[in-house]
Amino acid sequence: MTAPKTSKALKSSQKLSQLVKKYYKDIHEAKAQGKKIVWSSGIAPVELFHAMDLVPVFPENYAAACAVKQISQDLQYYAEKAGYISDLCSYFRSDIGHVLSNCTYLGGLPKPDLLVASRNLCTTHVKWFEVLSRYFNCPLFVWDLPFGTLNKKFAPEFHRLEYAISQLHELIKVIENITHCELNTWRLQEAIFLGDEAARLWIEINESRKNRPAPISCTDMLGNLFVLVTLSGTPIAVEFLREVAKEVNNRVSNKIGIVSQERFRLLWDVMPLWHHMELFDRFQSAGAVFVVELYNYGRVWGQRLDCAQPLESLAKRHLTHMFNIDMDSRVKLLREILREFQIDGYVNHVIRSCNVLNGSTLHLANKMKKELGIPTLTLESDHCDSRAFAPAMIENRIQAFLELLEANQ
Amino acid sequence: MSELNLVTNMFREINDTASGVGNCRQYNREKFIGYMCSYVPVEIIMSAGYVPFRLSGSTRPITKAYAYLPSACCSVVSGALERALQGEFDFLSGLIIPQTCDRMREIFDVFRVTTNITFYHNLIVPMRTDIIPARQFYYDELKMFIAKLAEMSGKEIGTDQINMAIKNYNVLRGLLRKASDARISATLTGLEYHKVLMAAFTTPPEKVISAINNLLQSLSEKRPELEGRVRLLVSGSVIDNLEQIALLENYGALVVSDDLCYGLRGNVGLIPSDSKDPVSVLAQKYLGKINCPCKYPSQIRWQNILENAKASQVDGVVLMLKKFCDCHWIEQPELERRLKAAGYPVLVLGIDNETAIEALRTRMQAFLEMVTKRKSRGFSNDCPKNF
Ligand code: SF4
Ligand code: SF4
Ligand code: SF4
Repeated sequence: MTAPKTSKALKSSQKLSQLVKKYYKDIHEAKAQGKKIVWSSGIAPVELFHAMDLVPVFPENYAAACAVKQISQDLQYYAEKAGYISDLCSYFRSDIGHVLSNCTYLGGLPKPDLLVASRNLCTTHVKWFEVLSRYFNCPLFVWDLPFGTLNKKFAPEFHRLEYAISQLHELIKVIENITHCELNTWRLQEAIFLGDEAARLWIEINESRKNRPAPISCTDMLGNLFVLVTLSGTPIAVEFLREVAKEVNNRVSNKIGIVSQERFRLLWDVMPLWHHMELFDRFQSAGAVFVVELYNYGRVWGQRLDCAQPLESLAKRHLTHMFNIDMDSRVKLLREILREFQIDGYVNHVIRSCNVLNGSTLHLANKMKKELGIPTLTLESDHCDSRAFAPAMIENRIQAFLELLEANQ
Repeated sequence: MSELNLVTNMFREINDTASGVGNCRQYNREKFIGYMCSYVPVEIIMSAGYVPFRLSGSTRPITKAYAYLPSACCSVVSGALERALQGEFDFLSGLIIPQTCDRMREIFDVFRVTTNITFYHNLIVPMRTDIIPARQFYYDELKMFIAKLAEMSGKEIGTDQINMAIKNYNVLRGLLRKASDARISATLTGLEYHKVLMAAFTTPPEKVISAINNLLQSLSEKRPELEGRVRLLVSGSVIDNLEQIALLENYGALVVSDDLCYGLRGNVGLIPSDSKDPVSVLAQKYLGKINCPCKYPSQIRWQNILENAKASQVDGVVLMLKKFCDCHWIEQPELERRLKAAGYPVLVLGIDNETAIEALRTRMQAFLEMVTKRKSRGFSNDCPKNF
């Protein structure tokens, strides 16, 4: 099956596909040149990797790309054949399948020299990387970032921060052992500086969506996230995001939106259905535009960094994203988002195979619905397993939801 | 087995849904604090003057909980939430839910906003067990927990109180270890042992201590009906439906060892009770001794399971895993591989509390028949076999 086309509104986004291709080419070349490759979970200290000459590779990202390409099912088949049941995270199953089947899409992923799993979202990540560590006989570093709360300045508790920073020092030693090169503080500061600039631009682009009409589509945003995840801390990310920001600002000035008539402004919570990205077009055809995805705007990526305190600011970013803080803090952040972006409706993707997000997002959506009476659509499906996609049921629900929005207008 | 009845009656009374409150009154109006997961140090609850009460699911159908939970939720959490929503836990003075597995991590607020319990604490537990800063972090979390509990109860929770609670639990854990060993010597069945455990997790320790003591003393030296049975180790998260253990034993097996939360997993062994800093001792023991797949690294747990299997001379292993319990399922293929490499036949069962016993019966029977044949042919379990 070939991937259906999804609509991206921006010209600058077209550069993305070149960037993605170049990235996959570069990582293979880097491996061939003897550079060290780190496989990392998605929410990672990528700036530190770049500063220490490690080439970061992201299995989640690759799994999402495979889902867009409609090849996940084949990959997951291999994982299931190896004994991993189909209830387990479909990112995980896709990745294991990619490894076992020697998948060649985009050249596959070059073999790792180091594995880094952050535990600031799920235990699955760590367990998954343990599987990889055994398979590749490769060292694994686990960055344990426990759940916590936020103070008024959005900072984590002191002991949580200390625990996170102490492990970053440990990680630096692990990397030094692998690259045989000491950390250069100047390079770290430079990477943090560039990471901060990328974050600043990312926030600017996101905030431009407070305008009516919103200038950039969620498909653009979710695609561009690739740059932030893989290349934050490099000039490439800054350059790319600058162009996106420029175009977006231009569209705001000229009131150019994503659809001819923006009727409803929506929030999408976590990962999309990577295998059915055209679902967003279904909403857009009714004038319903997603202006926030918590997945990208929930302080997950794109939190500002401070080059005067590089490790501390990295630790803070990773500890305090939307899904690593207590429910009261989440609600507080979310309430603000709903108000500032003038959200008319809330779409909650209950991801069947993600046990950490399917419970938390359902609860969060229930809370917002109860507290604010906001129309809510709950879609039960999966981010990477298209077997959990029931088109007729989903279409019925979307229709009912759009009718509700209509009635509310 | 009248002593056993005494213990199991305690458990049944406490868990008797219709009269949960009544039973607590029966225990001199003792106050209970509920908790989920083995990573909650019960000594701290006890030192504040409360009886720790471990929440479990039930076999009754879920009618209310799915309004707040995704359908892909394990029956430990959906069952416990259902019971809470039905008011069965209203007698609790508080509930402690830790951040351990992914489900537990996100369930705290659901309980907090949907149930009638007034005191809640979300205990954060690190995932890494291999570094000192993790222990320090857990120590800080335990201190925060103690401060909150002291404030709520109006009681001082100091070194003496904690050490006293540690002493009590040392006695209880020692007895539970003996009860577990009685399975190995085939003087107690797996079902009986699990009934004792269920009582131990929900009853005032001093009551259950004397009852288990009496039970152990009353055990006969030999129970011929238990000899020659297929000896099994059962591994999984929580088995809160004892019918599932009973079923194995009804078909001629004897569950002689386990890797379960209502079982050996939570038995952290003797804890020094004279430390000037008992919280530090608790942090070290709980983080270091509980073998849960939600933690990193995993090897220690596998080693432990293999050692227990060998020490209790089992003929096979049953992985009884709750549906949607990711951390157990993700380790299952590797654990199964290691067990088989050590020569143990392995049966993998996905269960929840609504799994029809009929559905398990056929697979259990076939497995037990195969293990029995294998046993009669004199297979040894310590040489790797490609089973
Ligand atoms: S999808 Fe969910 S379970 Fe899978 S890696 Fe992401 S957070 Fe973890
Ligand atoms: S299996 Fe682990 S996380 Fe689950 S209840 Fe037991 S100790 Fe807690
Ligand atoms: S059964 Fe598994 S998923 Fe459920 S609470 Fe226990 S460890 Fe967590």
